[in-house]
Amino acid sequence: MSIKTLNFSKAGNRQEESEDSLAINSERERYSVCDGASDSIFSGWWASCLAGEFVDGDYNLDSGEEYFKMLLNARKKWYSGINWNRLQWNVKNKSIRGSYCTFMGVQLVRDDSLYCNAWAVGDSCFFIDDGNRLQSFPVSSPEDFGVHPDLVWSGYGHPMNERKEYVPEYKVKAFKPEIENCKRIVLATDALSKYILENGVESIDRIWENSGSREFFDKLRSNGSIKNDDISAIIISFS
Amino acid sequence: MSYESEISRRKPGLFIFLVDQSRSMSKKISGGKHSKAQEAADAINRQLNEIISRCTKSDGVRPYFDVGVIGYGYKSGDATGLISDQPIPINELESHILRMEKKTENIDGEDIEIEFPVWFDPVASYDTPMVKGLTIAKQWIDDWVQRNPDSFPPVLINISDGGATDGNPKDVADQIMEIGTSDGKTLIWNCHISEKNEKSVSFPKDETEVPEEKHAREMFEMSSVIPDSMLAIAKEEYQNVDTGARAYVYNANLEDLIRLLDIGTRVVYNKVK
Repeated sequence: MSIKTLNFSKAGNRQEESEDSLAINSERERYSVCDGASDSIFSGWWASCLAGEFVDGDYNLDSGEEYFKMLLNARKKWYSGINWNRLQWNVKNKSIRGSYCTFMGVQLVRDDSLYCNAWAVGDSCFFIDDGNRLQSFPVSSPEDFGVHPDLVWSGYGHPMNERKEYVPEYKVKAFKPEIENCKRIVLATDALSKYILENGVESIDRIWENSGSREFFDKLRSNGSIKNDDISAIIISFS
Repeated sequence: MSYESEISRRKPGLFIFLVDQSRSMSKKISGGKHSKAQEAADAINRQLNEIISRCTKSDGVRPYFDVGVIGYGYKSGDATGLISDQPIPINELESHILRMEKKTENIDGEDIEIEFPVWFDPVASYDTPMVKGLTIAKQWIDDWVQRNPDSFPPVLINISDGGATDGNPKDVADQIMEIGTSDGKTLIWNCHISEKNEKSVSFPKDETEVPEEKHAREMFEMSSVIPDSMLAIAKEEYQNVDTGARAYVYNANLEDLIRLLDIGTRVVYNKVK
């Protein structure tokens, strides 16, 4: 089994401005990609806290209780990572409303056969490539990438957090496929996911081969094959 | 395709706000507690704050927009830039703040005290040299378009309570609406605010929908036709808006003023990538 990752900021932005985040815990065989919403502030940091919390924990997100526990722990990390007293007025005003991101988390499960648990909120996707056929979750058609996907909220920033409790919503979708004979699995944020759905399994071969080349993806963005957005993916090859 | 260009740091957008500072602006606006001058200044200051908020990231304000504000009528026959003498990048507005004010904002049912910047104060002094104001705007837009030929086209929002006292503003407005980028012509939005408690006319399609008063018709003619790509947002607020509607509200009360500013700017925010 080998793993490749990619995370490229949108054209015109510096790499550190990417609001996508990916996390891997090889020991636990847990993987996550999260896409920070550009409308909110500190969303890249929130995406990083959430992806990290998922892979380093044992959360089974079929359970709302476990999901809320994961969010509360991720939120603690998010909140403590921001120096609320030193924010400029405009950052302070915007951060009151908290941060948002999509979530995709996958756990490999080795039992009699190899299968996985995939959990999603929003339009970051999970793909199974068996060499011929592509399965996707939770979005199944390129037309279904909307402007307003479901998002995971960090809860309020300071000082609203002192007035109102953090009450997250349970909007998790689950998928539990067997992947014993598959060639590759992919976790990807929306822009790259749409490209994969439009171009099928061959596109995963191309992404695998060019995962280290920003130039390759810039070209796809400049010719309109991929929309100009942050793109990130984790590709796991079993062959 | 027109009015489709992405807005980015390489291809910023431009907002110019024009505000009437004539004596009649001292009268209380319909539907509000304060004078038309005060409400117009508050609305523009709030809108500048909103543009900054849209461009604010954790590392600071990204220069997705250039902005400028022109006041006309602060002295007889004259107009001037109220914040700067030409449009400036949004991230430079910080250094032009007049003062910070504490205001209460209701967020999800909780009143939170928030600090808001004020860039300029209301003025209600002399006559209505709208032609002079538009002429300065034309110069700003001309210069800006030279530097940003492929950007989303400039958006000019004019707030006034009456007719121009220094000539026919339609001529210069026509010239402005002819200036454009490769993505489309400059858009002019007009808001005629009123102290009268009369029904407003929102986004008329035909000039017969507005009263037969000279300045009402003039402002209709100097308002852009709302591009199809922007109609959806206008329709969210005003269901009767149809293809061919002008970017114009006549006899606007305070609520209409705020909604027009919101529509005129929100359609452009959505282009930020």
